Amino acid sequence: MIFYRIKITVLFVAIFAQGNVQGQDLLPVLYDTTLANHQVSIVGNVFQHSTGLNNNFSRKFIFGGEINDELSQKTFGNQNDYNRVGFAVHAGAEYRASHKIFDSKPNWSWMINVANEMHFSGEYSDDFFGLMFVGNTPFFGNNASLANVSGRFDHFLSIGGGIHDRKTKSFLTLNMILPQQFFQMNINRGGMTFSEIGDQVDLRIEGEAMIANSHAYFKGLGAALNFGFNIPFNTSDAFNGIINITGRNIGAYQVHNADFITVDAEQSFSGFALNDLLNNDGLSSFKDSLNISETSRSGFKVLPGFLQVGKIVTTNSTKVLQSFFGVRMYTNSVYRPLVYAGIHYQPLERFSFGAQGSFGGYGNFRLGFYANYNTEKILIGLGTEDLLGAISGNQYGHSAIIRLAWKI
Amino acid sequence: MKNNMNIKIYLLAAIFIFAVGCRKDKTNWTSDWVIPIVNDSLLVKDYVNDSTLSVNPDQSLQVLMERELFNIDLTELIKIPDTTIEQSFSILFPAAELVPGYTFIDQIKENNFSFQDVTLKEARIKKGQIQIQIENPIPTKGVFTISLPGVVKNGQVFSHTQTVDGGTTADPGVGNLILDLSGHTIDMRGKNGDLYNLLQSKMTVKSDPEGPTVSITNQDKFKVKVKLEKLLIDYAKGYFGNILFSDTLTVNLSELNSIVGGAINVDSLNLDLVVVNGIKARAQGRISLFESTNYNNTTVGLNHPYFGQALNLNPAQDEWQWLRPSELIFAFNNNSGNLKSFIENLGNTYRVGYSIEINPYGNTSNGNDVLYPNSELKVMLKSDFPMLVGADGLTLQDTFAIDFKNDNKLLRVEAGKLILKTTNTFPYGAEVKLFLLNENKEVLKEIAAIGQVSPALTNASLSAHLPIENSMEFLVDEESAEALKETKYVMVRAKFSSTLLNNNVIYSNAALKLLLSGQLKLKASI
Repeated sequence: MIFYRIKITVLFVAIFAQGNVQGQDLLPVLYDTTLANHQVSIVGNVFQHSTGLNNNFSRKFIFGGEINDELSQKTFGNQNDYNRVGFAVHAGAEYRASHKIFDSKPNWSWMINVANEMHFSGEYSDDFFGLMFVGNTPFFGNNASLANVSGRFDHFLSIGGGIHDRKTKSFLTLNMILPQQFFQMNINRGGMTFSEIGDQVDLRIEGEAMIANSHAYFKGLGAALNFGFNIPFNTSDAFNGIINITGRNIGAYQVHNADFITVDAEQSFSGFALNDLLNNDGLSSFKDSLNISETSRSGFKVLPGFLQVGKIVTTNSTKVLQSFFGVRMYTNSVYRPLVYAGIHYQPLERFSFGAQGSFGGYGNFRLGFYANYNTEKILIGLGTEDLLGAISGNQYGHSAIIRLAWKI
Repeated sequence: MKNNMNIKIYLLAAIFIFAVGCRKDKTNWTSDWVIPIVNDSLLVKDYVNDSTLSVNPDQSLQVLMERELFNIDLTELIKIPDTTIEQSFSILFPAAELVPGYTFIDQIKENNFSFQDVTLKEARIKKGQIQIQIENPIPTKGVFTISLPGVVKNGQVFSHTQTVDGGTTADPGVGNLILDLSGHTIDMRGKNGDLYNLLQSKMTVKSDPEGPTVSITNQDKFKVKVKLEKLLIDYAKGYFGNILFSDTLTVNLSELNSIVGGAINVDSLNLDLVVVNGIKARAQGRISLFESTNYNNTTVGLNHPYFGQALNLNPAQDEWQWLRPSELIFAFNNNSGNLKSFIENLGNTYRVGYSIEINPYGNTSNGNDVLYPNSELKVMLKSDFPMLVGADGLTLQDTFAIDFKNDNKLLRVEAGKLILKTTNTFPYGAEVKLFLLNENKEVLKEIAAIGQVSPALTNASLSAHLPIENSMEFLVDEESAEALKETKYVMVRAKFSSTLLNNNVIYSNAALKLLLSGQLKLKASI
C-alpha cells in the first residue's frame, strides 16, 4: 500500500510538473526567446479542486480506501448550501518541426499534437452530499434539497496539427476530437422530505441524464482548436514583457446514440400495500409513477475548453525576478474565473523557481510552487498549483504538473 | 551523448510504466437509510356488508355469506338450431301481362324448426341475425316485401321491402339482406295458433312501378332463401324436453393455499347447500359428493343423509321479474353430520358432484315450461353463524418474488434490520419468520423475528378487543446481506394462536395495522 501511494504520488508529480516550453498552459508559462529547432515535448497535469471537500476526504477517491462515518459526518458539516468540485487529467505530446513552409514566413513551420483528456465538473447542495454519504437520518422531519445538482464527465482523445512560429512560439492547431466516455446529469428541481420517523418520503424530482453508450470505441466525433499567441508589450522600461493567450480544446463534439433519461415525478411513498406485493406489481408500478423515460439520442456538446490570458516570464531575461499574472477559464458553467499572480526567481542560468497565489476555479485560494531546470537540449519542470494541498489533509485540492521537452 | 539519450529514454519509459501500472483501490463508504417498505391495514370491517360478514348487536361478527358454487349456462338449454329455409313463389295462373306497380304474388308459408324432442310455442331472440337472399327471374325490377308474421318486436311485425334488379330464369336478379333479429319474439304456433316449432314467412312481389309492362308465366319462380344462424334466446315457452346436467366440479380456494400447518376450532356452525331452480319446469337435483382436501392432502367428505338421492325440485313460481326460484336445501349444523371436521380440515380444494335433471317425468307441464331472462340453475352455499374461530398454531406461509439486486457493485445493503410495527385488535397472536430463497426457492437464510404480535384482549364490556402495539425486529446481519445477492423470493411464515381455543369471539373492530420499515446501512463502492 505504501509503495502504491508512493507510486501514485510520483505519477502525479511526473505527469503534472511543467517545463519552459511554449504551448503549456499551467503556471508559470515560460517564454523561450531562442529560435526553436525540432522539439518534442510531453506535458501533463492533473488537479482536483473543490469548495467543500477537504483532502482527507477526496484522497479516498484518489488513492482508494474506506470513508468512515466520522469522516463522512465531518465533511458533511463542512459543506455549504452550494458547492463546486472538479478534476481534470491532461496528458499530451507534441512535435514541432523546424522546416520552413512558407517563403514569405521563414519562421513558420508545422507541428502535430496528441492528447488524452478527462474532465469532470460538478455542483451540488450540502443536502445532496448528506444523502449520498450519510443517509437520510439527518433529514428526518425536514426537506433535503436536490435542486441545482449537476455533473458532467468527458474523456476524449485529441489529435491534430497546425503551424507554429519558431521565434514567437505562437501556434495554432486544428484537432479531431474522439470522445471515449461522456456522462452528464442535471437535477433541475428536486427534493426529498422525510417524516419525523422516516415512515413517509415525499419525493419531487425533475431531471435528466445523458450517457454515451454506443458500442463503438469512440462515442462520437468533433473538432477543436488549440492555440497560443505571445504578444510583446512595453509600457515602460520598468514594466514590459509578453502577454500570452492560450486556448485548448476550444470546440465541440457530437455524441452518437447516447442514452437519454428523463425523470419527472412527484411521489409520496409510505410503503407498499400488501396487495401490491401479493400481485408482484408494487415495484413496477412505483417505477411507473416516477415517469422515467429512456430514449436514445445524439447530442452536440461544447468541450470543456481551456482559456488563459496573462503576462508570462521569459527564460532568457536578464532580470532575476519577474512577475506573472493573469486569468484562466474553462468553458463550463461550474468553473469560476481563476485569477493568479506570482513571482519567478532565476538565480542561475539553468535553474529557476517561483511561487504564485490563485483564487477561483472549482474552489477558492491556493498557493503554488514550481522549479525548473534546463540544459541546452533538455527542459524539466516540476510544480504544483496547490502546495498546501500536497501536504495537508485539511486543504481542498491537489495539483501536480510536469513538463519535459527535448530540443533535437 | 549516448548516456544522455539513454537517460531520456529511461525517464520516458518510467513515466509510461507508472501511468499504466497504477490501479486505484476501491473507495467505500456507508450511509444509513430508514425507508418504509409496507404500510397497510387488514380491517374486518372491509368485509362487513359485502355478503360475507355482518355485525351482531353485541359487536361480534356473524358469518352471513352467500356464495355461488356454480351456475349452469342456460343458453345451452334451449338452442334454436341454425336453419335455412328455401322457398319459391309463382303466379297461380299460366301467364299474365304485368302493368307497372301491380302486385302479383302475396303468399304465406310455414316452415318447421328442426328441434328434437323440444316443442316450442314462443321464444325471444336475445341476439342473432337473419340473412335473406331473393331471386327475381323477370326482366324488370321487382319490389319484394318479406314479412315474418309471427315475429314481433314492440308490437311491430318483422317486415322488410327490397327492390331487386331484373333478370332471367337462368340468370335471375339477386338481392341480399342481413337484418338484426335481437329483441324479436317468435310465435311458433302457426297461422291457427295450435301448433309448435313453426316459423311463418310471407312474401309479396310487385312489378316495377316505373318500369314497362312485362309478360310472366307460372314457370317464373321467385325464390327466397332465409338463413337463421347463431340465434340466442332469453325467453322460451313450450316443452323443453328431458335434459340432464351432470358434473363433478373442483373449486380451489386460493386464499387457503397459504395454510401449511396448525389447526382451528369453529363453533356454532350453520351452513346450507342450496340447489336453485329458476326455470318453470319440474326438475330433480342430486348431490353425490362434497369433499375438502387440505395442504396435507387430507380429504374429508361432507356427510348428509340426502346426499346421493334424486330429490324433486319444483318449477319456479310467478314470471318475469317476479320470478321466484324453487330451492332444494341441504342443511348442516354442529349437530348434523360432520360439518365441524369438514370446516376444520381447512381445505383449499373442494370437489362437488351434482346432477340436475329437467322434466324427469316428461311433459308434465303440458308444454308450459318457461325460461325467463333471469332464470338460473345453480348451487349455492349459504351460512349464518357467529364467527367463533380459535387458532392453535395455525401456520400461514406465502412467498413473494423480490429481487433486491444486492449484487450491485455500486450500492448494496451491508447490514441493518427490518422493523415491523403492528397494532392488533384481533384475538390472535403471531410469531413471524422470514426466509430468503434463491431462484430455485431453496432457503438461503432464515431470519427469525425478535418479538412477536400479541393477541388482543377484550374490553371490560366485552364489545371489542383492545388494540395492542408490538414491534418486531428482523436483524439483517452481514451474512444475511450477503444472501440478499442471490435472493429472488422472500417467504413469510406466520404462526397464529388465539387466546381462547373455544368460542373465540371476533369483534367488528378487529384490525391489524402493519408498518414494515427498513433501517439499512448501504455500502457504496466505486
